[in-house]
Amino acid sequence: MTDILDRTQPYRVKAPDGRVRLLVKDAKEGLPASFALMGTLAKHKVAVRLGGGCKGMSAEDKTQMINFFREAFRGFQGLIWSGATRQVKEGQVDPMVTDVPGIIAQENPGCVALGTLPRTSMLSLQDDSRFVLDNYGTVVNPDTYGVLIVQNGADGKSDWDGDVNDYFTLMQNWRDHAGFTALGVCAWNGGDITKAEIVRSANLGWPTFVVRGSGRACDEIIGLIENGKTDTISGLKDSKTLVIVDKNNPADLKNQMMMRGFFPQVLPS
Amino acid sequence: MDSFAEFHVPSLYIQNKGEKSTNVALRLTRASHRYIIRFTGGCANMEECDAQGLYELFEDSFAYFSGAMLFGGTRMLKISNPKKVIPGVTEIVARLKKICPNSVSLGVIPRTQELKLTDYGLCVATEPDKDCFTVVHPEQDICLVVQISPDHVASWDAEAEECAEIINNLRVFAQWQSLLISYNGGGVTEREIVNTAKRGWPVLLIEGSGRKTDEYARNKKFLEENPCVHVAQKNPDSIRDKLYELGAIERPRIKIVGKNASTA
Repeated sequence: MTDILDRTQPYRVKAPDGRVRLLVKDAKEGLPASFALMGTLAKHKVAVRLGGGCKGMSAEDKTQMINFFREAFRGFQGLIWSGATRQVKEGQVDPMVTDVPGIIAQENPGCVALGTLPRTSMLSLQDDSRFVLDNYGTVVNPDTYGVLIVQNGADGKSDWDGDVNDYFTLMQNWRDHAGFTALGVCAWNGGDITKAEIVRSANLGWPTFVVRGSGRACDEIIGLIENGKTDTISGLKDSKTLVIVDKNNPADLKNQMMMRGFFPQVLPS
Repeated sequence: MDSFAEFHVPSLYIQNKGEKSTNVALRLTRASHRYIIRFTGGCANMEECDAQGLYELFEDSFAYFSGAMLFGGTRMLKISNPKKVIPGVTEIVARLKKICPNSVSLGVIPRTQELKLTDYGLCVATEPDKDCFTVVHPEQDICLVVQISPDHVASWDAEAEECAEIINNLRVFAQWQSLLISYNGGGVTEREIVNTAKRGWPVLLIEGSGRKTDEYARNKKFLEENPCVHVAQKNPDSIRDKLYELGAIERPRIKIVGKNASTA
């Protein structure tokens, strides 16, 4: 599979119409209608949130991660979204889970890529007016159609999970009010925040796909499940919707998603 | 609560000035066609002759519409005989909803007086000099009441302003098309026609419906200056042709027999 991500142009905007639509809200405010409406642009009313990180992964692992999701989401025409950031290392894209939605949307007409992110630090313009999110050079992912930045007041700072409540609420709103028929979370690697997202999604009864071999939080949770220690996963009340898939088998993830209605144009095999 | 499902109960939202309801916006997107039609025009002040055949006119024009419909959200009743519904534009949508089951209807009501619960529904305005009072229309999917605040009422223009906001959000953020259909109407309707035309959004004036709509439908200078404003005659064939032309309804691929035979 060819590498679709042009790593040499980390700041080039490839979102539809050559722009990423940015909205900023306070954590205490209601969800903006404008951003919620962007989710309805997807051809199919289904939504998958990608969670996790890429800590401890080699460059090859990251390429494999991107290709895993490309294969699994081939033909996907729903909404896919994540943390909406991009990491840049030595002037090149350092691929993360947050790069996946934009790539899936580029390759699959009808699919829409959105993102939410917490404002963890003061926003700044740097160099040629590059919009930077923190002191590590993190930028808004330029392949994403729309991004909602959640802040804790103009003066405050959020933790990295500052957007989690909003994204869960938004998904529930899409289901309850806009008629979305399938909601789910897919986790790759990740730390404590990812663990909490997996637990929250499973407790809501949503299909929650956890990728075996992706590392850290995902492998830790899978280890506990497989050793019969599900009850030791903090906060987990219901494990019935946890689905383990293998990082070497994207077809399995696709099939599992298909069986749960994320590809409404295709009957489950 | 399940027993409520047996009845048609509109969901009621109340919104203060400056607020936006995400849930209302999302509920409109349940319509299968990304198209919103706003109905505006006459109610209490409409002459009886202008109201003649009003419902049949639209029922015969709108078969297969599956977008969203935005209207005043009210029903007018006679004070002297509350069982008598006064004909008006706000009655059209409830009737269309019955023949367009895949559409979604939203009524927007400015709170211009104190709300009062009556035996005939939630009363939003009383006009004793015209022998009428206005209630929340019982046949709509969603109803949004807009007010400045709990202690401050809004003007009747707030309805058109809120509708324009809703339409703008759908057009800009969800790539919907829109159409304002105007039938009869007075000063508030006039401002809505002019403001919508200024935005460059499509407007369809029903010529022969009376009052301000007719005035603008016959104003050549206005029509020339605003190419987004279209005119249909007061008959189903003319309205339906315009709905096809403006993308509100897809032309049927099969021959239709009966009422709409001439459009097949």
